[in-house]
Amino acid sequence: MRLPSLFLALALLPQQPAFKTGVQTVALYATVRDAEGRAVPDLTKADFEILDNGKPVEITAFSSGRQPLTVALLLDMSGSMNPSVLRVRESTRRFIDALLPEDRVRICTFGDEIAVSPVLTSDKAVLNRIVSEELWPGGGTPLWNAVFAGMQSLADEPGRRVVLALTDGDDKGSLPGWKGSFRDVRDRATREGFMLYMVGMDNAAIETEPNTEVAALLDDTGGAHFNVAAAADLGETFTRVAEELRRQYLLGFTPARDGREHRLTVRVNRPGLSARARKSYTAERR
Amino acid sequence: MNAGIVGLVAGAVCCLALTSGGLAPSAAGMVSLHVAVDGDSSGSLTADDFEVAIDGRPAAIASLTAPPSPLTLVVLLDKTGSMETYGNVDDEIGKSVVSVLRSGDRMRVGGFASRVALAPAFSANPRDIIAAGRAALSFRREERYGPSPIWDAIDHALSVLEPENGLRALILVTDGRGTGNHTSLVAAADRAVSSGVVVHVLSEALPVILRQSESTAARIRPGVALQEIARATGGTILPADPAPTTELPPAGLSLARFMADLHGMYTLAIPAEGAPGSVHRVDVKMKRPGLTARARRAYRTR
Repeated sequence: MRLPSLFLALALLPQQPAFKTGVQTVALYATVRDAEGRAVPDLTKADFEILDNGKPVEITAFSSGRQPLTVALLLDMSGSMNPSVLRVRESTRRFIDALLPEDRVRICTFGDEIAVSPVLTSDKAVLNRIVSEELWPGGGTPLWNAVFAGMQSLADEPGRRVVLALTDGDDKGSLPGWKGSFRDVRDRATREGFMLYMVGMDNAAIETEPNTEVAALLDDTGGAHFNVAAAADLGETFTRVAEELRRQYLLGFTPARDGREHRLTVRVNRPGLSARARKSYTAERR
Repeated sequence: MNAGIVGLVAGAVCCLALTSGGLAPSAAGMVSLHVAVDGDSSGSLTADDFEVAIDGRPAAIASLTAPPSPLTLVVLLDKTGSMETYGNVDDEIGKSVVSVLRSGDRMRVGGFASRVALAPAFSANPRDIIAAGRAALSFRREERYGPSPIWDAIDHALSVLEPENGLRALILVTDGRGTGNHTSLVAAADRAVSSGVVVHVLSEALPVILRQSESTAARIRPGVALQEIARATGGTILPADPAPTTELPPAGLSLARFMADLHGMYTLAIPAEGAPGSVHRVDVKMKRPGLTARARRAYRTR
């Protein structure tokens, strides 16, 4: 980590802009890829540009070092996942293996119930124990209900907060007690700076064509989606997600204070490279 | 839940048998063994009818207490949404458990959905038990569609039973699909055996096979861990018949069988062996033909 003290300061602040005191900073985590889709390391602060409602803002914080992850890993256990139970379990273990010591993960399942583990830990033995003991297939696909619960479970966590969902189907409604919808998920994710990732099982998971609502949401949060063919290695996909998260750049800037939603654009000033990061934030009122 | 997990559970139970055990609160230097005897309805067996072996060697029985012993009991219900097929077990507790309590027995009721809740104290008063139990089992509807922290619930129930004396038991009604636990299955099982509490379980026994590919399948059996915990503590699991049926026996009938079993238990005292912390395998057998003993399978010397 090149700027440990700065990083520490950022890591201690939630991503949402509603800081109560002191100088405010909005943190962005940017994924940079080349034309072939490969992650690009070793960029500097000077390579980036942040536009707030189209106007350049000063980058007040930057790190290309590895930043710890805080992940809610949501595993679809609906009945249609029955033929993939072992595959999901083994792949989840590979994801856990790929974590760095400072990363923390909370495992959640959804189907008959939405079970959010109370354990948020970097202890791989504990995570593997949960994978072994707590995956029970059955029920429907309360996808957005589960994503909302995953965000809720990370609401008080500092630093980069990622909700990674593995699913094989579209949302099939919520469980009793949650009256929300996709819109609520979208609003909260963008307002509070959660990064949403989805892995679609057997190419049937989510509407992954460009410009669809779900894909747009993931994109807006700086996250992404990955499709996994039936015969493909899900573990490899999980490892790719972990790798992408590990290689993100941390950028920070001082937000406006007008109480409005702002559109964000992150650019890389090098040809052939593209950056992906959250696309909006809500400014606190002065 | 599947082949791997079955293996894990089997490993955990094997581990329990070899590395765990327990010592119920009893006279210093003595270990209490609560023994159910299948085939005995007299309640008049003597120490001469039993054979106890510790680590494979015969052990002397210092004393025998004939049934019924005063019972301290926790009844714990899984109140998650997946338990709806079990019917209204709450009402059955009053009919099949509270109504058959004997002089000296005390109990409390609890349950778990997305949280664990127990009645605040043990009581011998049926009205108090039922009223406090109803309050403890009042989960909001949304709480029933969250996690099912079975191992946390067992751990919590054991924590209130451990300070009690004499015959202590936990009756657990659950589908065995534990999620959202702080406590691991192995830790809960270890504590159950170490505590000397008899654990009876009402749960499903039907395995489900999920085909994963041309050559592999996942075997889902949520009750298997509970079955091993029950057996290791001298308890039972119902339905005992693994016949391929999704129908559970009436909860009341099973609960009544558990209570009859607990009220029929003999208590044997044997001298504790070995250094403090050492673990010892326990085997209890009957000398008379036609009788079968069931007791905890290990203890740890204090």
